[in-house]
Amino acid sequence: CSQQPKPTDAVSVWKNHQQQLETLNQWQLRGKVAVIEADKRQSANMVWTQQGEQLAMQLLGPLGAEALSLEFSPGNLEIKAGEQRYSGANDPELQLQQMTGWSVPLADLPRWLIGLPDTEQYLLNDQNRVSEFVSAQQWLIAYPSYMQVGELILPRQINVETPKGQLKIRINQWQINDD
Amino acid sequence: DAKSELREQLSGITDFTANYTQQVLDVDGSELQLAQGELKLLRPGKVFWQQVSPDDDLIISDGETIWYFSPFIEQVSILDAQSAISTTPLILLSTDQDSAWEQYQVETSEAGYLLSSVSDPDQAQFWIDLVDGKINAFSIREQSGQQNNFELSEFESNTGIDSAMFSFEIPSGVSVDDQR
Repeated sequence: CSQQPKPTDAVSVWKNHQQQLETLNQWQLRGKVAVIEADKRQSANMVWTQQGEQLAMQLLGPLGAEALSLEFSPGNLEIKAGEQRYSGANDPELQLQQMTGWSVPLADLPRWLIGLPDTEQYLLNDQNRVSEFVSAQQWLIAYPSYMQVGELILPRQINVETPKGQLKIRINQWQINDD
Repeated sequence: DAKSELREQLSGITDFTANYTQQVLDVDGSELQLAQGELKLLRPGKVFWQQVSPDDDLIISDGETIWYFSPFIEQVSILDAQSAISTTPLILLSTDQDSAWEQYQVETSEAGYLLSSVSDPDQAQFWIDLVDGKINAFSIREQSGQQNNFELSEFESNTGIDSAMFSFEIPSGVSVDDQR
């Protein structure tokens, strides 16, 4: 994406917000997640809970039927998907992919979900929040819309363009648990 | 016995409409999802779930085919209704087939009728609060302990719902995921 020069006050507003985001430690979001690839589209309701480095992702199917629950803390991964169970220290992204076919960038999502880019290649929107950035693995992550959450402005929609297709997330509710 | 009493009460309801509030709780009781929508049912076999919040997913069954429309990904999944019967006791609300009912034992409890699977009692359990022909609530407790509660309001039964209501016209541009 082209790098127009960013007005200094916009950058400082963003830098201030970025620091606030870096301090977020305990939060939860509820929304819809979809994987759209050439030959298949899948969507589910998602609850993502973050506590420091610990994360829990629950996926619900139609009418709230339980589809998958994943819990990860460094060195320990638990996945339940229907009858399948996994518990161990495998790489979470690889294990999830093998069990369900879902390729979700679990290691990157905690930062991307709250709107933190992981490279300097980002653009700001008119609210001085990230409109898009190119990730370390050269994927384009776009933030088409944001929402007010207390005094924070957090992503409402996130689109991740990957070589295989698109990961779309629409967040219906944020809950920040840091006091 | 409780089963015949429940089946009799249900058979007195040829159709109903209601608004629902759905709350999904995980095994330790924390809320995972809160949704609202409209539910219509025409026995036997016809069901219409239009969720309105937080998303507008739609599920329709005409008794043979189930359509699950998810506007978020602009896709409709099509499933065979008969194969879905064994997966959710919810279908029992709309069917009077002995083959479906034989799979469940029924007892009365303070939360209404409690249905559990005959073959595997600690599989999903299903409560239905049905009094004098009015369904107030129903809920499913999955084997994992996840609880899925539906509270009904504005329940109206036997108003003569048109069966044409229970089919889905696929909008242009929507991708079709036919799983039959």
